[in-house]
Amino acid sequence: MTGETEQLGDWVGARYARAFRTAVLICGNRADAEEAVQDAFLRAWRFRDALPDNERRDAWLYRVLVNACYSKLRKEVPRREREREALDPERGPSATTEAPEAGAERSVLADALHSTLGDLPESLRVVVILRYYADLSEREIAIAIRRRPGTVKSRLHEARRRLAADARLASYAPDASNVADAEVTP
Amino acid sequence: MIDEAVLAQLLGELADEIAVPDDGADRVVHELSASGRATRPRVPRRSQWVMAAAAAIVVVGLGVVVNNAMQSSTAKVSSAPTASAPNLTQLAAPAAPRRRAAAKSVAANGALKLSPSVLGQDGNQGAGIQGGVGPQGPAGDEGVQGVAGVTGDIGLVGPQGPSGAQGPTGTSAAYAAPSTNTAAGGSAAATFGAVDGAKIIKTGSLDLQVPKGTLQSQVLRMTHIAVGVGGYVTHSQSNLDPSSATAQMTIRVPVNAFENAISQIESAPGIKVLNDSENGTDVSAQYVNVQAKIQADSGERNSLLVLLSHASNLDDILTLRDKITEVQGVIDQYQGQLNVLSDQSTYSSISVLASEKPPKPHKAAVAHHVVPPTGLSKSWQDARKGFANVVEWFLARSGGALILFIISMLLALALRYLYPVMRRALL
Repeated sequence: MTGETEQLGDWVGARYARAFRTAVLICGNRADAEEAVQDAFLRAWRFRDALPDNERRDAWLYRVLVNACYSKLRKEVPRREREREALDPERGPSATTEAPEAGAERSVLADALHSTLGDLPESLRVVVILRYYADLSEREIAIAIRRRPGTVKSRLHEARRRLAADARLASYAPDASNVADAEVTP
Repeated sequence: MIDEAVLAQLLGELADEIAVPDDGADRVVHELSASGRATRPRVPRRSQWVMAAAAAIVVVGLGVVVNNAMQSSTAKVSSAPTASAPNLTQLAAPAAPRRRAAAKSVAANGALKLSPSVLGQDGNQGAGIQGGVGPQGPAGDEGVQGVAGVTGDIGLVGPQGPSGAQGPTGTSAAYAAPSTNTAAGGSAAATFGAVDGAKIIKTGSLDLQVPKGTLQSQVLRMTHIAVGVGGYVTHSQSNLDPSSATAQMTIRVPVNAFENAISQIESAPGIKVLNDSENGTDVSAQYVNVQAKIQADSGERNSLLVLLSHASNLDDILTLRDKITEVQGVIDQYQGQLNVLSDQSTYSSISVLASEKPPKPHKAAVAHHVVPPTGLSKSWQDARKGFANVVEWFLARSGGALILFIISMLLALALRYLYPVMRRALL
């Protein structure tokens, strides 16, 4: 194995899990997510010389990943039966060692978040996932979705407001009274 | 709004439930390795390709420019002998018909109604004169060689008969004819020596504006210039009226001092040259033509003189004398033309019109002189004009190649700087 291949292996290995889960959260199913992640790594590595520097390389990777997920969602997925298998409790959940009560509570909250995320528009869902799961900064998200940072900030704000509108998640809002008054726009 | 930390925690918990394929990363690496993209060979950077293409375009463009320049210079060089060729051709070609004319003239001698005593004791010799005309035709085709043919023809006449054998000898030497023709050619042959260089008639015309009150001194100065270079003043007329003081002069200077004299006249302080025209006419061919005519007619005259020396009959003498007078008149006429040509090509004429009051300017000229460009504005105008001239020169020399080159360079630059941007956008 050449040095370049080793470098590729390290680079992919360090990012694959988070990228895959991000793709599942965006696409909603494992199969599309796997293809999107693979396409993203392939394209990002192929055009790595065009990337400005290493610090922003992850942002560019997620940009490619988001584009790949969009492509799956808009072109390929409609031809399939879109199953949210990744979040299906019968297929996806990994084994847990926590207490049953704690696990039950988390499962309720996770289901609530999952269903609420699914109801969010795609543009809002993506920024929430990139910000609070992929841990990208607003500037990196702006690069990834090709929007201005101000737009990202606005979308994040709107997404959090909508998530708080869910009764199951409302208790986690710092100011519950604001949530009750918030309007939910389609 | 939901708390950010809680949201991050819940999302993390939600994502943690998503099982990641164990061999997912390996499959990606394997896919990359299998497709050869992981260890893709190093290819030259796009900028290097762009630079190579630009260099090739530059080389091609320069090649086109140099090729055009070489073609234009070659055309000039090839045209030069063509321009000088007529001199050589005219040196001989016009002589041919003259030699034919001379042969006809000699034939006319044979046709003269002369007694047999003039033609010699043997009547065949008289016929020999006419027979001698035959070879004269081809000799005349050789141009100057025909002159020697005349000599041979003279040899056929009377006691000089044996020397007629020199006829063919004379026709074999082109410019040797004057030397072998000394006995018969006379002064006309000697004038051939003058045809060494080109005979150029140069004329010039100057329209000068001199400072107020200096017209007389300027006329005197131009006279001194003419005399100083070996020339003279042929005409001078001055009008010293202060309101319209003008002087008109015609000076003649040696042709070799023509440019020197003009530069001296123009270089005097305070003199403004309003108009300057110089003209040169090459009369070398005409000069040689007249020379050849003189030579041919001189040969005919000499042959007639020989016949006259042997004439004893009064009618023959009168007839020959009339003919000789006629031929001599033609020779004198040609000699006059030759003298004029020689004089004009030896001395050049310069017409000078000097005036103190500037001529009434044209409206456009008035507008031009009202606001003359000075200082920076003049420099700016010169720079613009020079730039336009350079651009015109490049366009004229390169034709469409320069435009193609510029477009190619612009495309190369666009590719160089836009391609990375486009590639990032396509990711």
